[in-house]
Amino acid sequence: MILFNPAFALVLGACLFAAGAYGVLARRQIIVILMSIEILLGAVGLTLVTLARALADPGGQALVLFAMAVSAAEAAVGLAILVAFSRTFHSTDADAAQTLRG
Amino acid sequence: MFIDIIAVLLGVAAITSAVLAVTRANPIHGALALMGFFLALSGLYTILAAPFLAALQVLIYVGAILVLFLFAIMLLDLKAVPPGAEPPRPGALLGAVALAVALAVPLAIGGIALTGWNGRATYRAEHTLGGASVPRIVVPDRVVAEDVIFHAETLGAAVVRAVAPDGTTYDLPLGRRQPVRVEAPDQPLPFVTEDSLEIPPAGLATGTWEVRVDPSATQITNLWLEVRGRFVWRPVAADFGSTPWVGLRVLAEQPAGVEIVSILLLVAAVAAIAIAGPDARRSAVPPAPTERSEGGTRPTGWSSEPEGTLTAGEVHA
Repeated sequence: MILFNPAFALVLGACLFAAGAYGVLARRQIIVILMSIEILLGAVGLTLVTLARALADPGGQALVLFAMAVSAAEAAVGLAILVAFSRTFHSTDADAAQTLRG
Repeated sequence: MFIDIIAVLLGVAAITSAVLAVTRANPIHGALALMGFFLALSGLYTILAAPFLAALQVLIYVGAILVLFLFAIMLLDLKAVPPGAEPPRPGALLGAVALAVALAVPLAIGGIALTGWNGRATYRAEHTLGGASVPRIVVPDRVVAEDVIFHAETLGAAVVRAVAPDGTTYDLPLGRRQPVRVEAPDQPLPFVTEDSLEIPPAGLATGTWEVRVDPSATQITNLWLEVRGRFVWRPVAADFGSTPWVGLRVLAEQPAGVEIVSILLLVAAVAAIAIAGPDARRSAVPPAPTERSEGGTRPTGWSSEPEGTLTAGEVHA
């Protein structure tokens, strides 16, 4: 455990965050965008847990615990929005929401 | 070393499954890759001394959130995106790569600074004059001494002693003596003693080192202690990250946060029902009239058909 360097886990968290950001930016399927948001939250959680271990600080793990609960709430509301979106626009393509376009 | 190999394997699995989850055309495949990502993340949490969070990761993410995703995919009958339906966005790929570099470089620098990876730090006493004053050197946390060098320059014989943070004492043998200069011809020839002692690596050198001088010493001209070490992970208690530990930190020290989060979850449950419930049916875009005449073939292939979606209102109708 001493040999496990925090730089490795921090860089890994950055790469995972970038992968999730690519999903949010490039994909137009709403469910994939929501899954990418979960990847973003997981990457941040990995960074927090790594720094909690490296600094021997309990705050990081407590924050990840709260982030898990918030992410569960986010998933519930996000999927409900997806269901409502699908009923309203008869599509799950994020680009289908164009009713505000003049 | 073994744990390093496991960590690298888990990291590769996490990256691979995350990339698969965001690039697969079929959302079911994406959800399964997301499960791999959550499990790899749980394994990394275990290595990072967070076993309770690792268990929660599996319980909440794989057990609840992922099942919710699969439920939504099956409820809305989401199909794979046909090739060409999502135009490639090179700007998004470029932005993601730029984001990865912009995040990874400062995080790598910070992580290396936390451990002193291939780096060393030297700590010296702030003041080096002896006599009544006691030179101290404070070594910060997370430092393992690689060598501790004890330097003293005295005029005349003196017993110089270094006291390690754990109480171990190291006496400086006064071996070499050499005359330096004659101040005045009628005075006895002063001798300066220059010597240094390499204290065997004392392991964790964290704490305050002291240099003590026998008061009978004639004169101390220079005296210092040099600790050369490297950073390591700060040692943590054996129960770091365990269930009672996290429970104490969260429930006893952050009770307001627990209350806020529980209220947030309640509000989210109510909001989900309010957003997607049977009373919230409104259609902004009428379904295309050609959709029904084509006999079940979906024009876009992956958008859900309103006719095929079973809603609570249609059950009662």
